[in-house]
Amino acid sequence: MMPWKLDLPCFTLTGTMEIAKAQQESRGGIMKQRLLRIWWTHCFSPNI
Amino acid sequence: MKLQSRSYLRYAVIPLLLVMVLFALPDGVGAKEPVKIGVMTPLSPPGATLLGKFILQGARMGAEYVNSTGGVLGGRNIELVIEDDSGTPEKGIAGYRRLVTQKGVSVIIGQVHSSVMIAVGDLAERLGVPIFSTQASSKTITEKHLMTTFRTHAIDPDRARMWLRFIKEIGFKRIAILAENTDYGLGLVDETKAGMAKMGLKLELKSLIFDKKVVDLTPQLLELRGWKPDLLIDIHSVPTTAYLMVKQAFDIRLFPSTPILASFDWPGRSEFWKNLGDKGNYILFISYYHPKMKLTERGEWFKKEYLGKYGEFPIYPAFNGFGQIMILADALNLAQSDKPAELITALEKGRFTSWNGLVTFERGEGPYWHQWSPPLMVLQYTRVNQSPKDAPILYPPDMKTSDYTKP
Repeated sequence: MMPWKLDLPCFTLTGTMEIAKAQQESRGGIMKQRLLRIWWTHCFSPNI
Repeated sequence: MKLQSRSYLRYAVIPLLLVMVLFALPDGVGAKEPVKIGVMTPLSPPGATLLGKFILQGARMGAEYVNSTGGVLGGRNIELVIEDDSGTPEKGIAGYRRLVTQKGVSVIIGQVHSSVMIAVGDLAERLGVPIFSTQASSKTITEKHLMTTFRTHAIDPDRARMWLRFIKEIGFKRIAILAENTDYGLGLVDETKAGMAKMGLKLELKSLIFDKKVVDLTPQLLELRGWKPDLLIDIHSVPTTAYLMVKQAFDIRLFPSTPILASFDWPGRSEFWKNLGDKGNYILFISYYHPKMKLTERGEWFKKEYLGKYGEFPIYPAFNGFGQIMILADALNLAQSDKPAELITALEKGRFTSWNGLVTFERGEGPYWHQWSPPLMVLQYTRVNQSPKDAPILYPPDMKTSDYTKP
């Protein structure tokens, strides 16, 4: 019943966007959509 | 005679009636007796006193929060009863007995050292008052499936699996482990070996065990330097000796050319840079919290109030001390009782809002019994005086913001 998997912490939406930006700069990949999907699935909850 | 009768009424009968009425009232009404929660944690050496201090700060603010928002069980305050276990099993056992038999606490939080928690766990099962691990991580603690044992902290198999995945991703092959001779240190060495076998990882592993009270680690570090590892995993429970280890590793030129991975988040504290200066740069560390993490409303309240009170942001042990008081306040209300047995029933069936999300305590398999785990990350400092919030995230892959930085 955890809000995240063990290896998947929940960041704030701003924090998630900052991670996406850093990933695009350092890795050149397009991770933003994936990160937003993770955020929506695991972290968007009134209790978290 | 009439006057004498009236005086008799005023001075004897009325007070007697008042006393009778007070005794006839249900529990909690009138005097509003507080609910006592024990905080048994290391506050003196050889325990990890800083962890104890942070947990206590968090617990105190948790009690303040609950008491200022109406208390529990219809307006009763939470009263914390503090006990120093010094990080030793014998003091832990004596402390648990004192809290339960003399102080009348309903539950105890604050456990840091696995060796203490394991020793106290068996006694708790006999006396029936639940005890929480706040930062003790040995899997044995919850693997025993004791009704009175609860934990909201990472367990060793998950931590070992985490660093093995990280090691695999980076491609390190020769791994040295420097571990203290406690349930925590020895347990993590065993879990690392077991994890390697499970994952089919072919690594060269060399582990050296040191005494927890050690004052000089140079001989062990020189031996490891000669072995030329790709990574040194440091398993200390007491940060002050961990600082010494990093300094000595730097002075013999082992670190940072050989990276050090700290087994928990002690480098995330403000005193890290004060103690180590540029000798601490490039350290890798496991963390259960990141300042950009999403928190609950209670967690946000705590973060803001803690900053106002102490002039710095809280770190994980303080959050966890605070969170356990939040969980217990909710569980007390769910139980509608401060009796330990009823509290345990409520803890097993409820969903509780802690600082970082919803917490449950299920009767899970193996070490996942009454166990709630925080997320795990690997962070790295890449410049001197870097704040944890700016430290690159190296693991998990989905949250990774940078590759490992070689010095």
